[in-house]
Amino acid sequence: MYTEYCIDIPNSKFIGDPTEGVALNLEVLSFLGDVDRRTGTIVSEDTKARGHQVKDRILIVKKFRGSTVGVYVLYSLCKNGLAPKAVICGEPDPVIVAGIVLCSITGVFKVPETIMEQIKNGDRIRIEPLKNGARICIA
Amino acid sequence: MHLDRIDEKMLNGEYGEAKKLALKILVSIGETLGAERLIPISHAHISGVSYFNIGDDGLEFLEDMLIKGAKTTVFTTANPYSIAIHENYSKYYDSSIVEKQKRIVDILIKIGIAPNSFTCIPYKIRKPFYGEHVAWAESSAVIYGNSILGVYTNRESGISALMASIVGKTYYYGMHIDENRKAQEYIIVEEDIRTISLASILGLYVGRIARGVPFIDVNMPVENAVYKELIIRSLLASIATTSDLPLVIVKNASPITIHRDVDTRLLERVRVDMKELRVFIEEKCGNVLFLGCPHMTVNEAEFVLNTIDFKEITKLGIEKILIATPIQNYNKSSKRVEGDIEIEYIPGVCPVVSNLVEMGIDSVTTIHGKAYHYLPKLSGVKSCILNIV
Repeated sequence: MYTEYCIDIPNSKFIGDPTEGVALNLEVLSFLGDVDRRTGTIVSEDTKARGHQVKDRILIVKKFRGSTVGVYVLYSLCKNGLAPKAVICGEPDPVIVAGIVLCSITGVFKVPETIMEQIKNGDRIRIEPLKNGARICIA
Repeated sequence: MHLDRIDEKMLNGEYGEAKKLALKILVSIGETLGAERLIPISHAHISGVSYFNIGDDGLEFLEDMLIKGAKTTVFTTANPYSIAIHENYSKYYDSSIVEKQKRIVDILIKIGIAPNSFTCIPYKIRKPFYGEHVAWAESSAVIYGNSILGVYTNRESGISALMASIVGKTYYYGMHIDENRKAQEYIIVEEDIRTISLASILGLYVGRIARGVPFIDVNMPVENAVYKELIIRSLLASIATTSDLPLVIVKNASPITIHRDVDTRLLERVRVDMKELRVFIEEKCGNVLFLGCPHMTVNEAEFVLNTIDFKEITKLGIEKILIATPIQNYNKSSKRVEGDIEIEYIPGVCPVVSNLVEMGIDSVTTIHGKAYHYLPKLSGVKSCILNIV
C-alpha cells in the first residue's frame, strides 16, 4: 500500500495521453550531447543524472539548453524504443515540443519550479490533463 | 489554430504528402505552444546535417521526406556537415559513414537547400532585413539573428525549420511577437571584454545564470569592426550553448528599437565578476587550434590570424590551425604554413559535429565557448580555451 498525493497545476499545458512512470530529475538537458542516441543513457555530469537511462522515465527538466538538433536525438530514441514516457518542464522550448510532437509522447509545460522540486528522483508519478491545466500525482 | 483555405487544403493532402506532413507537424507544435495562427517566412535555416548527430534514423527521415516530394518554398540554408566527407579527411572514416554523410547532403540539395550554404552563419550567405520573420534552427544563428540583426525567429528545431521551409510559414509564437522581445533582467559585466576567448567564457556563464531575456551591460572597447563582430558572435553562441535563450540585448550592439520601450532601471540586476571566470582559461592543451565556431568567413579568419601572436602559440604547443568557413566562394580547402604552424581551411565543415577520435586527435584548443562545450560531448576529444585572441 502506498499513499498518493496530487498537485493540480492550473494554466499548465498538457499534450499527449495520461501516463505514469518513474521520475528522473535533470538540472539541465540538451538531447544532443547530454544523451547517448544509441543507448538512451545520460552522459553529462552537470545534468545531475549521469548514467541513468531515459527509457520509460518521466523526465523532470529544470532547464533546456543548446542544440536544435536534439529533436533528431529524441526522434531516434523513439524509433528504437528508448524514449522517455513524458517530459515535464517550465516554459516550453520549441525544440523539445517538436520532439514530443514527433514522438507522440506526453508533455507537461509551464510547471512552476517549486512543483518540480517536490518530485524526487525515483518517485512514481502519474500525470493527467485537467480542463485548464494538468495534475501530477506522486506516490 | 486559424488556418487559411490553402492551409486547409494542404492539411487535406491536396498539395502532396510532404506538405501535408510538414504542416501537420507545424500545427501540432504551434497548438501545443498556444499559437493562434501561422506567419509567412522569408528564409529557413536547418540544422541536423551531420551524420554523427542524426544517425541512420535521421537519414531515413530525410529520405522519407524526399520520397514524399518535399521541396523548399522559401530560400533555405543548412548547417555544416561533418568532416567525414572532406577530401583530406574522409580516409579516416568507414566508407559507409562517408557515403551516408554524402547522402544527407545530396538529399538536402535535392529538397532545395542552397548548395552554397552549409554554414552556421547563414546571415553571411544572405543578410536578412531588419524585422524579417524567418524560421532558423542553429541556436547560434537564432540568437545572433534576433539580437543583432533584428530578425524575428524562434529557436526552431532542425525538423521544424525544414517543415517551415516546405510550407513557407511557421507558428506565430514567442520571438515573432514584439511583446516577448523585451529584457527581463540586467546583467552587468565588471570588466571590459577585448578578446573572443573572454567573450566565450562570459557567454557560457551568462547562459547558465540567465533566467529570462537579459540586457547585457558590457563594454567591448575594440575598434576594428570585424574583430568586434567576432567577439559578439562568440559571446552569443556561447550563451545559446548553455541556455535556450533565442534573444539577448547587448548594450551598444543590439538595435536600439528592440529595447527602447524597456526601463532597464526596473530590472533585477546581476553582476558578473570576470576574475572568477578566468579560471576556465587554460595555459596549454592540444596541438590543434580550432577557429570558426560559429564559422568565420575567410576575411574574418585572416584578420584573426593576423592578430594572433604565432611565436606565442608555438610556445604553447600549437602545431596546426583548423579554420571552419562557409563554402561560398571558397569550396576548396587550402593549406599553408606560417612559421612552424600549418594553417588549413575546411569549408562547409564543422569539426565539432564530427568524430575526431577517428582522426587520431585526442584534444583540441579553441577560443570559442560553443566548441569548448560540445567537442568532448560530440567529437570525443578534450577541449580547452586559450586567451590568445
